[in-house]
Amino acid sequence: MQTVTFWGATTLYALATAFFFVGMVFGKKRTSDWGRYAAFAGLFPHAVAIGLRWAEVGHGPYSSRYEVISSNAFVLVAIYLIATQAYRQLRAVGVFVMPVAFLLMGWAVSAFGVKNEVPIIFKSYWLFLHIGFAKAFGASLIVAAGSAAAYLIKRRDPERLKSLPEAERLDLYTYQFLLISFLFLGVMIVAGSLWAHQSWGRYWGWDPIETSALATWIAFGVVLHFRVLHRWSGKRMAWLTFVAFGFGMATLYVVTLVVPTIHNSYLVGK
Amino acid sequence: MFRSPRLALFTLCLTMLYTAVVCWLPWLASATPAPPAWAVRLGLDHPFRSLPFLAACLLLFVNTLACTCDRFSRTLRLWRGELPPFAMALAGAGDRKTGSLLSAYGFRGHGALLFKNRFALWGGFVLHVGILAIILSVALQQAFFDGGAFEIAEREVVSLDRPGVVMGRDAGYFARKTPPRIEVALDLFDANLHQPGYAPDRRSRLVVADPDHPERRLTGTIDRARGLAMGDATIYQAIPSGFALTLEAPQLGTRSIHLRGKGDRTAFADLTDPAGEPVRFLLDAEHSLSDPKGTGRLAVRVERRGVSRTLLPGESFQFGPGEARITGIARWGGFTYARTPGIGLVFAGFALALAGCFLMIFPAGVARLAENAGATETRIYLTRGADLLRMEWNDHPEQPENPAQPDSDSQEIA
Repeated sequence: MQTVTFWGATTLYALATAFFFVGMVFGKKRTSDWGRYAAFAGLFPHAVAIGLRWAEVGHGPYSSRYEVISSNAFVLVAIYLIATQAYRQLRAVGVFVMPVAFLLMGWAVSAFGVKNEVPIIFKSYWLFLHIGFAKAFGASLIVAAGSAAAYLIKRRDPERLKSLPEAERLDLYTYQFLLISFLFLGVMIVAGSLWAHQSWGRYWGWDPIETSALATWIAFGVVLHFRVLHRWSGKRMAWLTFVAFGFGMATLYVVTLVVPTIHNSYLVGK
Repeated sequence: MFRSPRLALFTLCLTMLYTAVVCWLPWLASATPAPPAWAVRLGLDHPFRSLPFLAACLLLFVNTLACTCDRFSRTLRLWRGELPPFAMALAGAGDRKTGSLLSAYGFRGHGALLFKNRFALWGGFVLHVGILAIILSVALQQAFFDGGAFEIAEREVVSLDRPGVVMGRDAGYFARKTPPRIEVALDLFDANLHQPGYAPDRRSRLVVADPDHPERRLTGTIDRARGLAMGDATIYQAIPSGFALTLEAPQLGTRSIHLRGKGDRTAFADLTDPAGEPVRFLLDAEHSLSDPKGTGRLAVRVERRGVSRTLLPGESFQFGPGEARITGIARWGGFTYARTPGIGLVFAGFALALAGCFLMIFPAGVARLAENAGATETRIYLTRGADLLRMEWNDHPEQPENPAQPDSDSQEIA
């Protein structure tokens, strides 16, 4: 059942990706709408797959690579759908978001068979906040980067890709999502810090992931200062969003694979 | 000088690059090789206590303080409805157009002064106050921090302030000179307890007492998820564990010898007897010493001058001028303690910074309407979205014959 629901979700995300591409290339708004419906439909089997794994291993989706990446994809799709419900003109940004969700599912399945018991240190309320906001941070940052990419395309040729809103609006959305990611990253760091204090009596240990998260938060600070103090917007801001995106993705997905850290288990996950 | 935006960016970039680079240093993680000599010379073996990093933090604090003071007066003026000189000007439209557009943008109020998410004007200020609080409180907290590791065997009692009990003490400059005066006894210890839903891990029942106040006595069960507080100190379960021998010697009384692993089935400890002669105690297990199902039969040996002798339970052996006995085998567990005065201030700083981030999510603005020859002249300040508003203003169907000429110096955010 887990396999069926997981692959069902993956197929629907692949379909959504295809619909968005077709909609973008041929300028068919209706086709892009189907992409959104497919993404929405994919959330249900995906939720079932995550729930079944949760019931099987007895803990939330935060231990093995499959659980972490699959739930990250779920949160990404959910945040995209919620965001586009609030900001309808962002819908076409699905053309950047859904391929990422699809690829994440592909990465997740590479560790489908890995099932771990979690260490006792995971017995904390702060853990749920820490991990939940880490997922929300990653998802909102991908939406921000997708919006920045859409801005660059739209700015180059305003007549192209009619399903996308005006460049000025995309610039505003990029900034808005960057601010939301900044908040989510902050909550993630603080919740992790409270968790560490509860378990070890220290709130900061300069673990590589902690340090990388701090560097990312400061990088966001730099980007926001450029926007606020130097009134950077448009193209320069879009590129700065990619810089922040690079920092964020390195923190979430790269450092843990390269450097020994207490966070290794969530991606290496033996 | 310290209020300069360029200095703010320079300091932030410097700190960001330093932390980003340093987090990749392989020797910072535990159980990795020692840092090379050149890294030690540069202070990169303890990068976050090195002078360049501390100087950058100080600069960041001074710069943030200067900017925050400036920001307070600017935000207060906006809060009162005083628009900055660079506020966007939209002139020439009638009341209806102005009213409908500003209303669609979320501006609310009565009369000539309208606000959008007025509370959110304080977002940046609150965030900066939070950052200042974090830097200051972390500095204070680090100065007073006191922590260290210790080991206790089952049924052993240790007093943390006695010399030699606490190992690897990490104390700030203003921390108390000695570890906390607390007596800790390990009542029960399980190195491989399988709690439902979690991997096997340590769990201990501790009896903690204040020797100066006998009425202050606590018994608590801890694992690696949560500590046990006594006064201003909290005791936490650590990972290290092993076996201990209880030694009874006439000159020493009863003491616990904590053994270290030597291979999978043997543990040992080196001691010097009262005569100054080295003695090695060994414990051999039938199965693995870390086997959660049990170690099987255990045997104790004592080695002196290259001669190994297996001891029977209660059997005496030469130990200095007299004889000693091994009266028991137990487990020892590793623990840490921490005294973190000022931690509440650190968390208050975190809360302020997050509150600031939260407020910043809401786009805020101030609009002031003024009558000018029958048309409304509107001046608007928006934290973001000004470009979009101007674009929509120009595209509006009610655009008058003489369209508004947006202020060329208009901007988004102050």
